[in-house]
Amino acid sequence: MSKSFLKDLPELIAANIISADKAKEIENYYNTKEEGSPNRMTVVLGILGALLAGSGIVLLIAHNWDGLSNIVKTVLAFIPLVIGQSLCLYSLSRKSDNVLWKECSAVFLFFAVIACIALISQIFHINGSLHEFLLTVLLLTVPLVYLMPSSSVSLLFIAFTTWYDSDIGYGYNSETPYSYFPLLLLIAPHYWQLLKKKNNFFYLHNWMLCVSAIVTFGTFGSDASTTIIWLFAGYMSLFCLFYFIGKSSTFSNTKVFLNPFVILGRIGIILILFIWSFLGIWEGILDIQGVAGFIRTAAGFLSLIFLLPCIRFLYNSWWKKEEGYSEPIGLSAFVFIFCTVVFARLPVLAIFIINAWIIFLAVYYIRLGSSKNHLGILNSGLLIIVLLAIFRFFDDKIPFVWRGLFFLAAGAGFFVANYLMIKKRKLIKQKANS
Amino acid sequence: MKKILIVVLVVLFIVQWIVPGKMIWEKENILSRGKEFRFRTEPIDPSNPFTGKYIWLNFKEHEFDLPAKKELRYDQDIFVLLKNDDSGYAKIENIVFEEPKGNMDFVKAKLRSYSPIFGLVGHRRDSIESQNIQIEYPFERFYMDEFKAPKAEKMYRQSNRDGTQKVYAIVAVSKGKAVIKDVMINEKPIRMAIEGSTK
Repeated sequence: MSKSFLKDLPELIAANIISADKAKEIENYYNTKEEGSPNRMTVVLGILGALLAGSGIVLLIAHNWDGLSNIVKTVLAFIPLVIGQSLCLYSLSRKSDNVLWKECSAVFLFFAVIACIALISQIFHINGSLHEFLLTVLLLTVPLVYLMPSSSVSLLFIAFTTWYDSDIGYGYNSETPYSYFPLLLLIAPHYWQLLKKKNNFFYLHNWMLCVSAIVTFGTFGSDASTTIIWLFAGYMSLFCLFYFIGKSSTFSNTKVFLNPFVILGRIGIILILFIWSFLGIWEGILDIQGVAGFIRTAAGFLSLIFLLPCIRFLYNSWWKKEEGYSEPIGLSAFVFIFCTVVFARLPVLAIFIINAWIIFLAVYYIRLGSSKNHLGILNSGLLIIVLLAIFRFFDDKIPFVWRGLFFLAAGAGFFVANYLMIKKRKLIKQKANS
Repeated sequence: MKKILIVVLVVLFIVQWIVPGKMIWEKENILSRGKEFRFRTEPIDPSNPFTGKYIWLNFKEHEFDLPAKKELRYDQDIFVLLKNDDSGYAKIENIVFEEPKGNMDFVKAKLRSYSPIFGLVGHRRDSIESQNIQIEYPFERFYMDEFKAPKAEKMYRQSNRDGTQKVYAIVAVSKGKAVIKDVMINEKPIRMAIEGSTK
């Protein structure tokens, strides 16, 4: 951008808008700025390079070089650590304004710590579990987030924390990983700084945090295996909370793909509604009284906590008439939990409400797309209807005639809605031209 | 401000050295001062994403029966008292739940699982007589070259059919902690035995 601006400088001098001296100052300013801070692509490529080089060292070490003596292997374990530490020290003392240097050296050191601990574990055949290993790495590297500072290490920290807690919380002899919250709190101040800047790292953090929350939430209900429906209710609360966060003033003006809260919230809500739109899954619930058990689990407690801000957001949108929250998809958690509590023993009624709610959401988006003249929103509503029709195609409890009619109606609706929308657009264009 | 950051960074670097350094110091200490035990075992080959391929040592002495008095839970700490049997292999003398005092040879381990053993009255089950404890030792992994580890398992399986194979791990034990020195197949270190078999 600056380069194209620099090309215009002679024209601006000729038109007497700026003086030659001022033009020189502008040119110098951009040149020194470019020297000091490399462009975005260089930073991305640099971080990727450091990631790959670091992972390569870890993999090379994982080969287990039997031919080398223990002393040689011990010395080798510390070489990447020394290189990483030297690079970090150099970046901080000599290149403190250069993001590329700081991010790359911090990422390299992150993997060097992994390589060092891994090699020492190999040499002495240390038994420790994967989560103990990951926790050691996390605690030894988290200060880099603030000292360098490095947002890439912060992203790696979230990813490895998710891995650490999944290793504890899923599988045989699993435990509820309460450590997830204090670990994430360690990077909270850094996230707060990013929130103020709202740069690319901020949006990457949002994506990483959303995925991390989705992966980890299941571990908090691991002891509620008989009451799987409540775990889904918990996920529904989480997705609704995502949706409302995405619609809040902090995120509402960002581009769609920079707002993972809305994207993942919507997808999650619709996915759960589709799963529970089948009769078979409701009939499979043997112990619905497990609600008391679920509330006692961490997931149940968290679900209730997630619902509180949802109520607050709903209050803002319905009573205070604040813009942004008014889409009914945010109510899905309440509809789903209502069905599970009231109609779990009447599965036919439960699936009727869930299916009706899906159709209602689809119609809402079709109407919204139509009124906003937005083909994307309109077709997302139609896509929900079509998916529902496809799922019901396999539902042999519904007579063929009804299914056939539903399909015909959905197909016709698709064509008619798009046709009307395109016609409307043409009409508006014609009016504008005349 | 920059100077303070650099000082804190150097402190972090020192900690990053101390953690692996402490691991090395502890393990070297056990290797040099610990008493050696030979645990009969069979090698099985799994993998870890960071530390690579290893053989998992399924020790013969991995279970013990205790009177059914104590309430047990999975993953709890246990102290395995060791002695050598007549043929010179490690044998469990007893399992206790408090750290032993004095000059006893023991290893701090974990309770992997437990199951009740019922007494019999005629052919009918009576009350629980004792509990069978499965032990998780802190030295069940032996890291090897990624290409050699599967061969180790295969070689053990092939040559064990005649029942004369002697496979054991040499483990140094000191004050409840333990480190594997080597795994032997017919008195040969496993790495050399594999190289010999592939030539």
